[in-house]
Amino acid sequence: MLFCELDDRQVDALREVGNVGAGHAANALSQLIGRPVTLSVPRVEAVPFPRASTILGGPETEVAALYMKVYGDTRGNILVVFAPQDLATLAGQVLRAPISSIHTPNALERSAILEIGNIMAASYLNAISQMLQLSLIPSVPALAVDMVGAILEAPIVELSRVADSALVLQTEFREARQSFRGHFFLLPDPQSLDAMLDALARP
Amino acid sequence: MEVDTPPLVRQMVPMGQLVVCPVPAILIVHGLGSCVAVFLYDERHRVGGLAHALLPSGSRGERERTPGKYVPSAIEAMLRKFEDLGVAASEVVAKLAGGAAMFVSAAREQRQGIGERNVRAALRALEARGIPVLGSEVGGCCGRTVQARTADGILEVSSLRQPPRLI
Repeated sequence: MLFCELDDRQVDALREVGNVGAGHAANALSQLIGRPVTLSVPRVEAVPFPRASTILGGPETEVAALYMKVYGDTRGNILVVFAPQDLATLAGQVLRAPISSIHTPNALERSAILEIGNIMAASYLNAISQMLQLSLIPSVPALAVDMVGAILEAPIVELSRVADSALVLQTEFREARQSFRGHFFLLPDPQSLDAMLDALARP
Repeated sequence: MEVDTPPLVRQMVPMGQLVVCPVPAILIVHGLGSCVAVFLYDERHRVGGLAHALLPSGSRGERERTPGKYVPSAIEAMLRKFEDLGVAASEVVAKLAGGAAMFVSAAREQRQGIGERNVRAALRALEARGIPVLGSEVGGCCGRTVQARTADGILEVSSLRQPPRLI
């Protein structure tokens, strides 16, 4: 399935998938920090690779990103992207104490940061696993704090073997008092998008 | 007396693309990660080209459809453009940047990271054509912005936490 061939009904169905997944991810994050987390309406769009970094402020913008691969019946990539200071704030809320540095976190801070990715990806995938009756498992998260362009190359290279654009399910989430906000991205592999769409089409 | 010089062309090279320029220009890749930027330059004719390639190899059909995506076909495509401008491969030198592993644990899952494989693919393809590599800024785990100057063959590499380096 090529992303450009998706019809409106399929895009709506994928948006609903994004909504359910992100709702659970935000809920899990909220429980982790004991504060409400709100969500934007998810966006579903096909983004040509050369344009991908414009979504996040241009290729040289510094961001902090958690990256996970998705294994199981549908494969893909998850990125959770923050302004570096925002991820530092969130990690501080998880630990109930400010962190020393987002660039050189100590072992405890690092595991708190990775746990944010873990919790969000696992609850997102759990929710859509149940919705679609598919098995979806996240990999161990990895952290990078660097230029957007360079960070996006990781999932794009995975997809680029078979495609020239990425289907992006994007949701923005924020802590109710605006102490941080972030972007959750699911980028399904083109081949396994069929599995998702088949599952969605089941009565 | 001031001499009017035309404004220098600044040309972005998007992912999977390549540009060869016979006039003084700055060819730019912003935010290079595991991809590799291959700068080819001929001093005599002042011709320079920059490729922004994603993958170390691809099927023949894919290489023909999108040569700029794969390191070896991107280098070959640039050399053809050099030849169209009257520059033989034997006159060309190369400089490399990129090939980073942005997410360390993701790279560990594979036997060898994609960035490292991209760099090796570039070195192999250049060696096969007898093109010397005069300098490189590759590997590591940082994103890089690359500016290739076709007027003097300098490759400027900058990152967020290191001072810019001229190679």
